[in-house]
Amino acid sequence: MKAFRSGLVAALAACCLVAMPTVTYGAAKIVIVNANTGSDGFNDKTAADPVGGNAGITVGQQRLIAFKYAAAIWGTGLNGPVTVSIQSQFTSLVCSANGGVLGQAGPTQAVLGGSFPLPNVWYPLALANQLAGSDLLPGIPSIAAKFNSGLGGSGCLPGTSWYYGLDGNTGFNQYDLAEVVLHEFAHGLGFLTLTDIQTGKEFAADPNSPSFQDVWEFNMFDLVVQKHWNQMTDAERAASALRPRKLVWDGANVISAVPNVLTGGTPSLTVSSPPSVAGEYLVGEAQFGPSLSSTSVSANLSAPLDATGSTLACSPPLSPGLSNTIALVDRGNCTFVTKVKNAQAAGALAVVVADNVPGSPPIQMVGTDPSINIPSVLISQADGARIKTALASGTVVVNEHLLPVLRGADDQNRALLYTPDRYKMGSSVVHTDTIAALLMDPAYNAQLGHKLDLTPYLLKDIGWSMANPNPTDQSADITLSATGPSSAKKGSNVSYEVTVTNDGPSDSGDVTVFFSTKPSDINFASSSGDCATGFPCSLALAAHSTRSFTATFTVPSSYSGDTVQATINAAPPFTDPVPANNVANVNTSVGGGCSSTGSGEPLLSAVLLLLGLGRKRSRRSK
Amino acid sequence: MKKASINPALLSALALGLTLGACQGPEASVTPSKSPSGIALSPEVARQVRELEPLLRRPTNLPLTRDSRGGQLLDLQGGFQHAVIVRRNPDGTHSIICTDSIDQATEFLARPPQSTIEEQ
Repeated sequence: MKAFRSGLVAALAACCLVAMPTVTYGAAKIVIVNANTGSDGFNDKTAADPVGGNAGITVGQQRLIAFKYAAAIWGTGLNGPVTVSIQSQFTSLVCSANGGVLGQAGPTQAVLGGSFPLPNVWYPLALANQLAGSDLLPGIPSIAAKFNSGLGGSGCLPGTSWYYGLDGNTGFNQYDLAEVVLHEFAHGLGFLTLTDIQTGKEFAADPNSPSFQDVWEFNMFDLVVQKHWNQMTDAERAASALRPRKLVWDGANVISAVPNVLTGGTPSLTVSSPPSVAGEYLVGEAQFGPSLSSTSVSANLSAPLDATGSTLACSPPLSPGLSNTIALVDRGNCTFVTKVKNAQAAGALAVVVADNVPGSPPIQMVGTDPSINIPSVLISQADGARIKTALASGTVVVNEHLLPVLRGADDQNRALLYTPDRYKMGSSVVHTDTIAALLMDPAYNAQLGHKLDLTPYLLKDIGWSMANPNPTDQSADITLSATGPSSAKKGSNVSYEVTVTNDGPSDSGDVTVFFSTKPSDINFASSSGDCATGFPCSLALAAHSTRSFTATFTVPSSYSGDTVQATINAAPPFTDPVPANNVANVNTSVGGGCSSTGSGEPLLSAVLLLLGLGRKRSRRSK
Repeated sequence: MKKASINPALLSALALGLTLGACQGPEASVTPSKSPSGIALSPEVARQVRELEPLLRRPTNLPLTRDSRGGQLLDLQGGFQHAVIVRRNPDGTHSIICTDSIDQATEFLARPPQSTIEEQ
């Protein structure tokens, strides 16, 4: 399991387990506050098979484990003295057969003034608490999150579902809950601006109060006007939010991290002549054909017509001959693959497709065709029009290539923020540019591996303390064993002894222990030891440490069955390399008669899931 | 004594104004019939936009409290959230965005579905 830890646990590990290979970090404490009531959401008792490292055995447990997993990743990534409470709920959200809301999150409060590093600047509550060193609003969660419990139902994107696994192996038509939660929690932690990006107006409590900057603005630097957002007028901010790849994050922590996080070069179209259109142009790459990383093509631009006399290049042959030229064609009427293949057949060295709808930066050209062996790029409609005008008057020389700039940054390693023009979707300035495919991409997919990439560095730039930027690189193996009585009488108490061990190498963070019985009307009586508060409970285990507890249940006098089964499972916040030994079942036969404690009676059976996968211990499950 | 006469049209207008005022309040909004780029909203999308609006709104007149440090704490009243929105494409794929803007959410939901496989 990949670990999460408190300072106390780290200290214990350091002093008591010197000989053990242990990885320790400081951490912020981030807790999930279950806002569901009744049997909904996190309390949904519908049976579920453990999946992808999520050891939950009910739908509700799996949801809670995925939330705790995301909280643990952030808790390991960040450091802070004040617990971050996230009010969390799984409930019906806006949805229909064709679309809907997966989830939502954000800060509950904004805080201004006092003794923060930047005076008279708005901070989100979670960060403000850390900077203040105390909980400014005790009892008030600093973040609120709601996720859609209706997903996949008849009225809500039927055929889809959440993926509750923690391993990123999301199937077709599934959404990786942990990935979505990780992203949305980041917004709640402070990856946001309160400034209205449409008007550029900074945030005020009410229309008659003065507006103030927020902490997000201080590291947003516009490459055109050469100002930070906190230095701009409202009009300048509104304009800046619509300049594709011209707004960068210039915080020192991000700049230093970019070479270690981002890779590759930045695809570009360079026009070298005529001077009227010379310069670098933003491009969308193609999924098909050779990538620009291995190919750089420079040639004169040509403007072919297809068999119908169209610039769409849908109907071969294209003419005149395109040998040794880069073909400029228009988007529309047929697939990108068709256009490029037709140009390739006519001898083109490469293709430039001009968009047929407004919008920048250009999208990725999707499609597959292994027979395509020339590169191609998409440019915006506006850029296409400009280049076509120049081409009508003479020769245009272009180069499709990779700029020696890390993908997702500018030439000074400042991270590109997402600032599409008005026709694109996703929040501007509070996401990273889509070219880099990072956690904070506005259209992020489920294959990012639950990495935090640049995000903790951005949060550090606004005031968070960072503990470990790569939480998911750690692992710890949690094992659980349980014993109970072989038999019990109706009306009596039944006690179970449970031991949870962290076999390392990392600290575990908060392991959630669930305890369920079949039938469910066996009444919880009490618990003692390390889970004295009842269930589910949280246990933080240093590497190579053990925690134990006793749980007692009452078999009703009216019970009509002859067996009670207790299932105890330990869900670590990160993926456990051996999840099978996290669960134990204990069966107890029930006879008639009056009360007698079952504790201490011989074990009848411990039904151990995946018996024999780990070390064998007497009367223990692995 | 002369009775004051009241124009029935004025009465109707007053009644309508009172009704609207009572319904809307300072934070109420009217679901648009078109997206920001002019795409007409289907009844289904209009309903979704109406339900999304409270999450993505930027409310004003927020309740302010002061803490012992002299700082101000502002309850965001459930607004200023980011929402992850999904739309099904005709080819069975899905498009997904995260947004804090009701305009962007409206545009995303209203836009005619595109096929990502047969993208042209």
